[in-house]
Formats: sequence, structure tokens, C-alpha cells
Amino acid sequence: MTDGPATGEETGPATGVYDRGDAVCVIGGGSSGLAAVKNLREHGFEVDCYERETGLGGAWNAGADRSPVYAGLHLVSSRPFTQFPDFPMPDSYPDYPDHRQVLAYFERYADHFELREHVWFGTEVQSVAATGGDRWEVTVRGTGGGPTRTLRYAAVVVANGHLWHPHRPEYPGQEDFGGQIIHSSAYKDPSQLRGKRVLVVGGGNSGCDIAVAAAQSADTTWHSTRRGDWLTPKYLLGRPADQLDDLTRALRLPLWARRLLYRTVLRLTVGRPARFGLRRPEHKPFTAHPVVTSQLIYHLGHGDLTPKPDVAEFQPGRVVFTDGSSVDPQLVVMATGYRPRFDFLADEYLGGDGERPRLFLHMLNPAYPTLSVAGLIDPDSGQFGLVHWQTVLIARLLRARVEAPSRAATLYRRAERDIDRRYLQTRMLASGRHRYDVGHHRYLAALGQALSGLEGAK
Amino acid sequence: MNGDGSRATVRVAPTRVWRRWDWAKPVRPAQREVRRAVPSAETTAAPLLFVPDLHDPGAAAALDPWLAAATDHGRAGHAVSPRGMGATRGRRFGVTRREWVHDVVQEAVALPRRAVLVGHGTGAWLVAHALHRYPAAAVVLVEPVGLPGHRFPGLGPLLRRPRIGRSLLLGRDPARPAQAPPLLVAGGGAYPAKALTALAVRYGARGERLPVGTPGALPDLAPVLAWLDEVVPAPDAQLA
Ligand SMILES: Cc1cc2nc3c(=O)[nH]c(=O)nc-3n(C[C@H](O)[C@H](O)[C@H](O)COP(=O)(O)OP(=O)(O)OC[C@H]3O[C@@H](n4cnc5c(N)ncnc54)[C@H](O)[C@@H]3O)c2cc1C
Repeated sequence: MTDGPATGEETGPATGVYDRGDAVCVIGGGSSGLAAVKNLREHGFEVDCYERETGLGGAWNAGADRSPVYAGLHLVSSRPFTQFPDFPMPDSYPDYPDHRQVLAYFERYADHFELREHVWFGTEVQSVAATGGDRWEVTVRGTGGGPTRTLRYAAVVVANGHLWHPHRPEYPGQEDFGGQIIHSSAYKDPSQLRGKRVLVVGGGNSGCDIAVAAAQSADTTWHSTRRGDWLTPKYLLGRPADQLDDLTRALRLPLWARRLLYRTVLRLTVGRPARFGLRRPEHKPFTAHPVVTSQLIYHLGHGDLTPKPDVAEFQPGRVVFTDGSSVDPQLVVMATGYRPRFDFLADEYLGGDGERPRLFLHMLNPAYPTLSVAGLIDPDSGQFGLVHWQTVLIARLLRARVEAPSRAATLYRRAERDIDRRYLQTRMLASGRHRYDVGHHRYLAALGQALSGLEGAK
Repeated sequence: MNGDGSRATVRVAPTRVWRRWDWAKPVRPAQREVRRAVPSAETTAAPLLFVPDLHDPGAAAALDPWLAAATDHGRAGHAVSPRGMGATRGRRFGVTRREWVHDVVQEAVALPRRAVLVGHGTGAWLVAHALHRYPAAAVVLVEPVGLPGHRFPGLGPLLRRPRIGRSLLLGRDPARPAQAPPLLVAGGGAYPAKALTALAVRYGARGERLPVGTPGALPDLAPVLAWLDEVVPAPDAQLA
């Protein structure tokens, strides 16, 4: 479908607002939006989903102009954590599928559950505004231009993704650098690195991936990170590392024992960070999300890249680090992450301020009970499984508002009380990067509790 | 026998978001046998996935008459022998219920659209568990064994496959999921009527008696297919 929904009553030529009755509007056709469409449909809702691109898959749709996907991108979370719990990835998939397989998986999900007919592709949501009775007016427009249309919905689910708007920190002297500076979102394949002196800034998963790609194809590679991190290989003791970690949890080992085991296994299999010129992590394991990379250590050991501390400043043709050393890269790749953006939504709807929504379970603002956000989390494991349960909760809550209002009201009261609760497995490092971090166990427990509060007799 | 009116007695399972062992020790892939039959005319009707009785040595092959009935009725039919059953190679004993459910769900999600799960005998028991793992379009439990009402598989099968027997008799009963598809419980002439009613009430499902040709043969699927046309009609049929 490429036009707007044709059905619906026009309330009058003067306003031109189509009333979609009890239908729910979903913004975004990435993994979170698709899960929302499926679960809302399954709970009996009529759904209109708007997707600005012409295809689904969001971040994993490599053809989209905002896609952060690059050649050789594989999942960092293994299959059982990443898949939708009610639509497992096929047995033929590897432990860590690549981005094409992930996109193919979403396409099969959409076909299997017949979701495409509810998605209006090439249509961007321009504004969302509350109207009376907890309803919403949504203004959309074709990405190719054309007139805007305004439709009225009973509820809105925002699933616009939070990893597409690059965060670009400014360093002193950057304007006079002279070399090329790109954000990791503009990195697509190794041909951009070939034969160059490359500096990769950022020690997250993308930063490590791109540093590895540069080590394989650039002339010289430096990798600047702010701190020492626990670099977790993709496999430990013969199984995906995240599965090993969850095995220690399933066996109910306490946190200190899990830490001890983790340190020991890393020490015995990978070795001390200092051997590879890396800083020792100053934080305990599990106080920051794992950085998953098997190849970084390998290439450090082969001398293909040189670790560097944080960037202090740029000078013409040079980059100076906090330890006083400097290098002369031709290309700097900033893997400095992303910031959420909700251009179509006034800040008050999400509580807090624009970049810092204040939401219960990272989903709900009790002041606007029919508005919810799906996918605004950064889990220590896979994303889709958690977002599945988020959207089940949204669907059940919207249904409970009609069928069991007292249960819904109880949940909204809880939401007010617990709005600032975080769901981390332990105290986390303070850093802007961790605002949406959730530990999958804690977070799922909270979602499960909210779900069970809505179940049973009215 | 329509259980819809007796919702109050339906036991609904709390939603289980926790999948501890799926994360820590996911099921390893193994060979499955699938027999397929598609109708000559292309259709968008929900396909049927048949799960045979685990005690039937033929496994999926034993359901060939149902595949034929489905295609005659204009629906694609698929029958799966989970690991260790029918024509599959590999471990025959020591397979766990979790592995079998995994195999059933894997075949369901591989189909082009949301499937109807139809389980026969102990296959119905697997389907009742799979219901918590896959949002089927509709579910049919035919002569279910291992579920409340008719738990005991019989002495012969129990001795031949003690591992299944243990799971059947001692495992936790699958309750109805909070978000359940339309459910039908059906049994042929020899299947105890009381068991059928008990299960239908418990699941808030419809109960249906199926005609059987010869004793011991598979019951006739026609009433099941008619019910499916009611609850999950083919979109093209709607247009016609
Ligand atoms: C490099 C990278 C690697 C990753 N690796 C993993 C991993 O290994 N495991 C994991 O679980 N997660 C991973 N992630 C996280 C990833 O963000 C999630 O997997 C997931 O794809 C997010 O889905 P989403 O639907 O929330 O957002 P997105 O996929 O970003 O989808 C949002 C959609 O909304 C659309 N949209 C936005 N605004 C509008 C508007 N105004 N109107 C209409 N449409 C709009 C966009 O076009 C987009 O299609 C990774 C992310 C990145 C960037």
C-alpha cells in the first residue's frame, strides 16, 4: 500500500480529519513497529502503520538512507535472545546471523502474519497531537511529497527507532583538521577504508566492528576508546557467550560467582588486556553492557591496529590523544552512537525533555495513557524478544482500558510510582550512553509482572 | 457441546515471558520429516500443520489420508514427524518434550502464513504445549492423549516409549494461553465422550464428535474442515 487508508469517515470538509475510530496508529515499520502491528492485530485492533521508507525492517533495511547497516554486520546477540519468542529463527540460521538474514527474517515475519497490508510505506508521520478523550490526531505525508492528511486514532504506538540520528561529539580544533570525518552510520563497506590511514573513535560494538574492518583493509589503523572494556568473544567454552552467561543465571549462581567465573574464563582464554596494549577495565563485569568482539583481540595480536586512549583535540592533519600522543589519519570514523529523536511529537507527551523521555518501563507516560513507545531500550542481549513483550503489554493495556478499566488504572498508578525505575542487573556506569540500558532478566520480570496484573478476572 | 459459555471454569495460564532454558541451552536442530500436499489451485487459506500421534510408528506418513482430505478441501496440508519419529534418523529415545515442541514450532513458522495446528493423540498433547510458543490461526486437538480427561496412553505404548510416558503422566498440563486462537477438541466414536467434554470445558473450546469409518482408523476430518471454514475462512472464499 502506498496511499493513505481510504476508509474512515471525514468529519467535515473544513477540518479534513479522517476519524479512524478504534484503530491504533503505529509509527515505524522496523522490528518494533512490526511486532506492534502483529500483537495489536492479534488482540483485535485495527492498525495503520506508517513507514517512511519503501520497505520494512528499519535499521536492518540496508537500502534505506538512514540505515546504520554496514558490510559484514552480524548480530552481537545470539539467536535465542534476539528472535521473537513466538516466531523463532529457522534452525538453518547460524548462532549469529548477518544483517541480510535478519532482514529476511523480518520479511518472513511480516508475510507469515500478513502485516504488510497494514503498513503504509513511503509515508512519514509529521505530527502527533493529543485531542479530547485520550485520542490522537496524526498528520502524515508521502515521502515523495503531496498533500498532508490528518487522521484521528484511539491510540498511538511510537516505534521510530533510536539508532538512526547520529550523535557527533565536537572536539576542539575539529574544523581545521582537514582530513575526512564521517560518522559510523556513513560507513558501508571496506572500500571506504582501503589504502588509508584510519582512526576509529568509539569502543562500542560498531566501533569494534569497524576497527576490525579497518585492520583488515586500511593501510594503518588506530582505535581510540574512552575506557578499558570487557571485550567478550562471541564464543566462550564452546558456546555463544551470552548463552553461557545465561546458563550461569539459570543455575542461579550469585552475581559475585558469575563475575568470578567470567573473569577466570576470559583470563584463561583471552588473556590480560595489557598484553594487547589495552587498558584494564576499571569497572566490574556486568556494570556496562558487554562489548562483543572476537576479532579485535586477534588483530591486535597481529599488529594490524593500535589502541589509543580518548581523543583530546584535533590539529591540522593530526589528532591528539589524552596521553599526549598524536597520529595523522586521513579518515576518522566516529562510532559515537546515536541519540533518540521524536520530531513529530511535542516533548511534553513523553515527559522529560526531547532527548530524555521519562517513561514507565521506557514505554508509558501515565499522563497520556493511550500513547506508548516501543523499542526505546538498549538491552544487554537481543532487542526483538523484549520488544515483543512490550507490544503485547501495550495491546493488553489498551484492551483492558475498555474491558477491565480498574486493572488498567492500577497499572497506570504503578506507572506513576515507578516511572523512574531502571531495570539494570547491577549498578551501571554513569554515562550518557546508558540511559536506555536494561538487563534482560530484570526488564522481562517487570514486563511479566505488568502483564499478569492485567490478566485474570476483571 | 460448546464450551464458550463456560468461560469461568477455563483455566488460563499466566503469560510466561521467562524462557530461562531456551536462552541458556537452546534446543539443537535435528532432522525432521515433513510430508506435504498442496491443492492444485493456489490459495491464501491458512495451511494445516498435522502433528501425528507419537506412538504411531508411521508418524507423519500415518496422516496421509488427512493430507488428502485437506487438499480436497482446498487447503495446503503438512504433516511433521518430529525428531526420532517416522522416517527421521537420529536418536529415537531420550528425546524431550521441549525438543518435540521446538520441531513442531519450527515447521509452523516455516510455512508461508499463519498455520492451523492439528494434533492427533499424543500429537495433540504436543500441540497444546506448542500453543504457548506459536500463535496459531486455530488449533484442533483430535482424540487427545496426555491431556486432562484422557491422560493415559495405554500400557503398550507406555512400555514401548517410557520417556514419552513419563512426560505425559508427570509433566505439567498445558493450560489455555491468555491469548488463545479458536480451539476445537474432536474425537471419533471410540474416544470417551466424557474426556472430550472435560477438555473442551477446560480450554473454553468447542467439542465435536467425528464420524469414523472402520474402527481403529483415523477419524474423518470433514467436520473439522467445516469448522475451520467458519473460524478461519480463506480470504479468497470470502470474496467469492
Ligand atoms: C549497527 C547496529 C547493530 C545492532 N545489532 C543488534 C544486535 O546484534 N542485536 C539486537 O538485538 N539489536 C541490535 N541492534 C539494535 C537495533 O536497533 C534493533 O535490532 C532494532 O532493529 C531496532 O528496531 P526498531 O524498530 O525499534 O527501530 P528501527 O529499526 O530504527 O525502525 C524504525 C522505523 O521507523 C521509521 N520511522 C522513523 N520515523 C518515522 C516517521 N516520522 N514516520 C514514519 N516512519 C518513521 C524508520 O524509517 C524505521 O524504518 C543494532 C543496531 C545497530 C545500529
